[in-house]
Amino acid sequence: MTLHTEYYNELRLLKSTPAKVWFGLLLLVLLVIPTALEGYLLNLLTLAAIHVIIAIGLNLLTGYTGQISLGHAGFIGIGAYTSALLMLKLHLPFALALLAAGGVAGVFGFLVGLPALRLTGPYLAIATLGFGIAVGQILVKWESLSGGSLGIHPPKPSIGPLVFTSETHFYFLSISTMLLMTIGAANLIKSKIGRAFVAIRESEVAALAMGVNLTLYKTLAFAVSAFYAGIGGSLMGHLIGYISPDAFNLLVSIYFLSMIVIGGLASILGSILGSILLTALPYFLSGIKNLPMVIYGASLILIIIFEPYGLTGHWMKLRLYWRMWPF
Amino acid sequence: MNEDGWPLLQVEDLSLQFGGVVALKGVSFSIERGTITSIIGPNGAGKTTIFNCISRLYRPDRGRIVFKGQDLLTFRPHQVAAHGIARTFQNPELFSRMTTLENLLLGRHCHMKIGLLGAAASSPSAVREELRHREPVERIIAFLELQSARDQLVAALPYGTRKLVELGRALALEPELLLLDEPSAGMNAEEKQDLKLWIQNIRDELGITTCLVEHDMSVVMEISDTVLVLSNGETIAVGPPEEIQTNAEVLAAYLGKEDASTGPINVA
Ligand SMILES: Nc1ncnc2c1ncn2[C@@H]1O[C@H](COP(=O)(O)OP(=O)(O)OP(=O)(O)O)[C@@H](O)[C@H]1O
Ligand SMILES: [Mg+2]
Repeated sequence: MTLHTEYYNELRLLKSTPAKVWFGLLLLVLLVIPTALEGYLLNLLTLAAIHVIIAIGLNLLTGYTGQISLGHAGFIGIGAYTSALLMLKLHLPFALALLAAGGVAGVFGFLVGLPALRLTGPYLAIATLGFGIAVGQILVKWESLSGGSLGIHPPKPSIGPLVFTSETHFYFLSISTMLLMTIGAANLIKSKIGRAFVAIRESEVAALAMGVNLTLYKTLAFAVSAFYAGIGGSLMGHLIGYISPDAFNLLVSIYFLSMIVIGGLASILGSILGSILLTALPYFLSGIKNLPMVIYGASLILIIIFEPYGLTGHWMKLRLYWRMWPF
Repeated sequence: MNEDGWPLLQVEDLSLQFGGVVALKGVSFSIERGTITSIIGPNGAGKTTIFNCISRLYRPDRGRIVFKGQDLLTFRPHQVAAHGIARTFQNPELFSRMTTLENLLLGRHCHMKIGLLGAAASSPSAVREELRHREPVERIIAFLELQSARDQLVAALPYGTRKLVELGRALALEPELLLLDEPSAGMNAEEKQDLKLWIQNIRDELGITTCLVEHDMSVVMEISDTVLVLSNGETIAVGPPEEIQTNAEVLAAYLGKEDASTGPINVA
């Protein structure tokens, strides 16, 4: 059955031997990085890994399913607060709190997805924007639970006897979660479910005619995307050690949208590149206040106009060029 | 209701009005298993509207549609496919930024059962299911000679090929009833010739019942078992193609005044 093995190869994530070698090298580099980097730079990398998780989730919704969300900060906030409060008030173990952060955010994603069934384009943008703002307001007002605008301090996480106290611990926690969730998303995209997501983006009426339950898959896309945001929010809260409602404002939602637009919509690699770039940018531009935000805005506009495939478009061209070389 | 004694599809007294425009006025017909039925009629006659009622995109004001003895108007739109009805659209509705293969795989959507976690983990059963459903899709790609388009984005394909991809996607569903809205539109003579053969093969080899809306009379007259003529939302004639070709009322509706006296519809 040569055909059969051929299909099987198409289904695998790492198709060629060079791809496997590169992935192995990447893992090795990720493993030794903490011996070379420390302090601020290592934390920046940890943060980038967390951003990758959130960006991939947002790309599943916006890039693949074609549903815009201007309220992702709301899901991130829900994740951060759920995880912190479950540990502080109910003394739940971190692993459970982390999963619950994703789960609770996912349920909110499902609920936000319901009106999305009737809304498209700018109307959906406004509805999700409203959700994001509402989350911030509720967190400020519901002081007895959330600590109000003063914020709360998520505790240091631990799994079993392992307590994540050092920067290196956090680095490995975030990187391994990121790898796991990246692989999950890549698998999902190649499955029946990912195809249904893209089908909805391309033609709702054709998707319907093929038997795709629009209600189910649109709300599922919102729920999965919010799950990713919730996990990212939880990790972010525990990493920084302090969360407050204004850490989850509209700018945060736009920040993540810029990542996937600059990196490349409907692309896992694009989500990764965009996250790393935008996380690193403030480090190199730390001298000038507000400059990073101006740069996100400007690059967003430029990319939408000139480079609809984002950074990954360049990567593809480069790869093609490489393969064709020296012709 | 029971499937026994019913034709594959029965449409009774179907009526639908858009504001002041009467799209369908008491249309009734039935489609027997294993046949090819063509719906013809001038522009705006209501042909596409019938398909849209069967797909549950439009809700008729009056009337009944019975599919395999079941009341089709109780299905939700996404359930129509799972009950065994596939369709194409007058203006191809494809997943443009997906490859031909991926478009056809969407046809397998309602046959695949994998859940969210299995899919995210790419579990052995998920992989097995995916592999199992590739086989019918590859068969259809070979059947419609789409091998060279297999891995190309549909947006990059010529119009005639895109229409075939849409046909292939509908076939991948393995439907019992296939609805084709103007399948030959925009095709050249050679492509039309292939299309006629394929539609007949779909009936004879795959055993799929087909209903097509078609403007090209050579296609209609050569392959149809039954022809339904629609004009201004009303059925004006039903019968085998030979009969329709000489029906005076059809000639009047179809050709207008000037040509009605010159004889049978031109089957050029
Ligand atoms: N969604 C709609 N809203 C308003 N009017 C509609 C709608 N769909 C169809 N109609 C009207 O119903 C009538 C029948 O349209 P339909 O598309 O069924 O015609 P058709 O027979 O398929 O014509 P053609 O050969 O041009 O495709 C037309 O007058 C059309 O304008
Ligand atoms: Mg039509």
